[in-house]
Amino acid sequence: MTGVLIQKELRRHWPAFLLLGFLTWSAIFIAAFRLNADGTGAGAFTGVGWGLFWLIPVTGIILGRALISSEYQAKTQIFLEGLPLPKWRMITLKLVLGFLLTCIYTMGSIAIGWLISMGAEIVTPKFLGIMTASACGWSLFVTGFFLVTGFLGRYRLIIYLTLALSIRMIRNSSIPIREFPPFALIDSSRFGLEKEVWPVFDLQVTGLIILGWIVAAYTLGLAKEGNISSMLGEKMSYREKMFIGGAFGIGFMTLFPFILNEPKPEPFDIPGAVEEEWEGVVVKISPEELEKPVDLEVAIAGKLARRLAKQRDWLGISKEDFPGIFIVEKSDIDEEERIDWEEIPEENVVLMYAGYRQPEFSENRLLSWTLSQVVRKYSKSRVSHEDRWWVVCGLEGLWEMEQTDADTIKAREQMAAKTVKQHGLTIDNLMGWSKYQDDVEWRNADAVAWMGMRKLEQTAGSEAVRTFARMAVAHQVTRTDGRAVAWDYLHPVTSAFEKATGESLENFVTEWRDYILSVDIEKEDVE
Amino acid sequence: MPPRGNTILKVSNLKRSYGNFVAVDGLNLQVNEGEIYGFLGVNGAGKTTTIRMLMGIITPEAGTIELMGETTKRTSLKQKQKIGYVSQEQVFYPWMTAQMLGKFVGGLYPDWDKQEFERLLQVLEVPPNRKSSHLSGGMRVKLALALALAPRPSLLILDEPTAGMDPVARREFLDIIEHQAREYGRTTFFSTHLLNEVERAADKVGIIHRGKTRFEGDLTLLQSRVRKIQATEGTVLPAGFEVWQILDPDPITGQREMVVDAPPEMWADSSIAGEKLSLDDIFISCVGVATMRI
Repeated sequence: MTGVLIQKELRRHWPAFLLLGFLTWSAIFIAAFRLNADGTGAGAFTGVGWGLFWLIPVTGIILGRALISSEYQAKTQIFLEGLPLPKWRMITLKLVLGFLLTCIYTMGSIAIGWLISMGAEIVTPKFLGIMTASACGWSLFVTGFFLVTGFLGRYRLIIYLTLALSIRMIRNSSIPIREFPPFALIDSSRFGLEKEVWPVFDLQVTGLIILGWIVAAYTLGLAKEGNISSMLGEKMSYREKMFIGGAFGIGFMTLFPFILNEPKPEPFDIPGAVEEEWEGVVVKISPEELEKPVDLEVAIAGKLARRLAKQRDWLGISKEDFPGIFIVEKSDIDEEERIDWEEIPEENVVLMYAGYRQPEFSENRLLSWTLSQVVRKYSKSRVSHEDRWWVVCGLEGLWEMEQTDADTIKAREQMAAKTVKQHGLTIDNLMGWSKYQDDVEWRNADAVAWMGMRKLEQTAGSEAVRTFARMAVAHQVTRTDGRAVAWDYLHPVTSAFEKATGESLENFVTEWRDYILSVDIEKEDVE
Repeated sequence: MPPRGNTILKVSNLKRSYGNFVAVDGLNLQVNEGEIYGFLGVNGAGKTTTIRMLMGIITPEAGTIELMGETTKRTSLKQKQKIGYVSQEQVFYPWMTAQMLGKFVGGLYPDWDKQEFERLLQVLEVPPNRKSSHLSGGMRVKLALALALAPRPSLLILDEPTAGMDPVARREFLDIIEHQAREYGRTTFFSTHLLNEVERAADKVGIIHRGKTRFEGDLTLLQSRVRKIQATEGTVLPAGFEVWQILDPDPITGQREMVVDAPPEMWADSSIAGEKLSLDDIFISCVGVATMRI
């Protein structure tokens, strides 16, 4: 009996199911590919998460309509009711089929993300498990909702409209909806990034909600008997459509100010910060204790502004486009670096945290890391794309080492030499720089990149380095759409290198490797 | 003709309402094996509600259904597998052909006879490979009938199957029903609001009005029971005579006429001279059209 019912659903809807899968996966492919190319967030998996967040509701609406409401609207329910076919079995089959298809679409999407990110992202079984559980949790929640509302026939439209309005209003409010399950499961700040911690609580809550949908589906499907179900499934009359349209229109007009008046955020600023300006570069530093004298802050801000202005001109970034630099004192951050940063979206601002009173703090490193964030901001994160990030790391090294003592330089050379001796260096490593960083540890990778830039400076001259830097990482991106992606593809880093230096990157990598390997590794270090 | 046998369906005090509206109000009926039972009633009398209760689609509020020897409150899945059902409205999956429908419905009946289904399609001239959406109304009813008969059911229930058919198709359909009953001893219960259909095909008739059984028996008995009498003011009927309808007085003579129901032997024993009525008249008086003058 079950086989007959499955056959019936599949024979009826297979073109729709296939098309749905094809469209979902195509859209996910584009999103994952674009974000992977973009270099923002977690790359391909961010695209998958984004795609699932927006596409699964669409898939859910179509599945709910195909599996549930179409049966009532076409009145085929009457035909089924006359057959020796238990209603609970029919409902179970439709729910299972709906959930199963959603899981297939979701897991297929993750597989696409995996394929796209292959080589660039280390995908452990646990990471894959976390992603699959989170994505399926979200998808089942959404699909469950649309399957349940499918039982409401024409009345589901009112629920969808109300929901759309509510979501819009919540988004405009300060309610952090994405922090709550099930939204937290697919939130871009976690999905595709979290590799170790299972979102147990979020999954539990989502599971309970899904269970609620299932209970509601059985209640609606079974408790109301055939005649009520078919009444719900009746198509809307013209008058009803007019009524709903009118009611929605009035509701929309009433809520219009709340819907469209998105609160405009105040421009980013840190009140009370010490401010220094040099040739258009503004650096603001905010100490932990505002009552203390601010001599140190003034000194750092002034020095940093001067050096940033110099590098800004070197990179060819205009004064108007250079972001405001904010530095907040934070003494309890990373003991090795004493520097951290935070992304401030939608603002032309770079926010750095620095423990500048701590002994390990280095002003040179603050300068170089700040500049990295500047080019990241300037390129709308496109320099974070793997094939370009090594250039930023290399330039970072040049900026940092410009005023550094001989011991630090020597230590850094040793790090690079040991790394290349152990792991080698090829053009593939440059093109998959994140993986190389994971394999060799990012500080070592940074040392290797710096040596590359130093070698380039020695062989091709500092002018060539500057031209290459401007072409590869200092290209301004004003919008993150297809044009920026196309620009990247039309100007790959390999051709930029060749254009700027007159030499192929592949040949240069050989020279670069030999240059690093020519460094004598100190014996005690080898041991 | 196969012999009529045991009771196959017996309904006792069946009741069902929708809100304040009582659709079926203590209905009783009995169908014996091999019978063609005409379930007669005007629109809204409660025929479809009764059939939906018999099919287990809706649950009765009170009363019992004895189906094929098993008494139940709601028809079970097993019992449904022994019933062939043709609903009032023929809604099939429009993309399915008769063959596909046969395959789908056949999977739900353990006794589905594929060859019989194919034979029925041929006999009823239903094109097996045409989509159901491309079939005419009459064809769809025939297809529904083939689907209902293929599992070789013990009881065939038809809910106003000829509604919307032209007279030729209706006659053809009734012929098939009759043939099935006479040839294979198929017990058939069909509802209709058309008296001539019952007159033509049914062995037994049940008249339902406002959810209650007004009469149950064969048509000859009905005609011998219900008669029209002349009445004057002060006429007293003996016990056992039930007045079905009092007609408007004759404007010239002032005499009233009444339609009265009584067992034939009582008519014979009494001195009341009753005029026999046509089935049409009996049905109309049964459902109480008060202003009608016979």
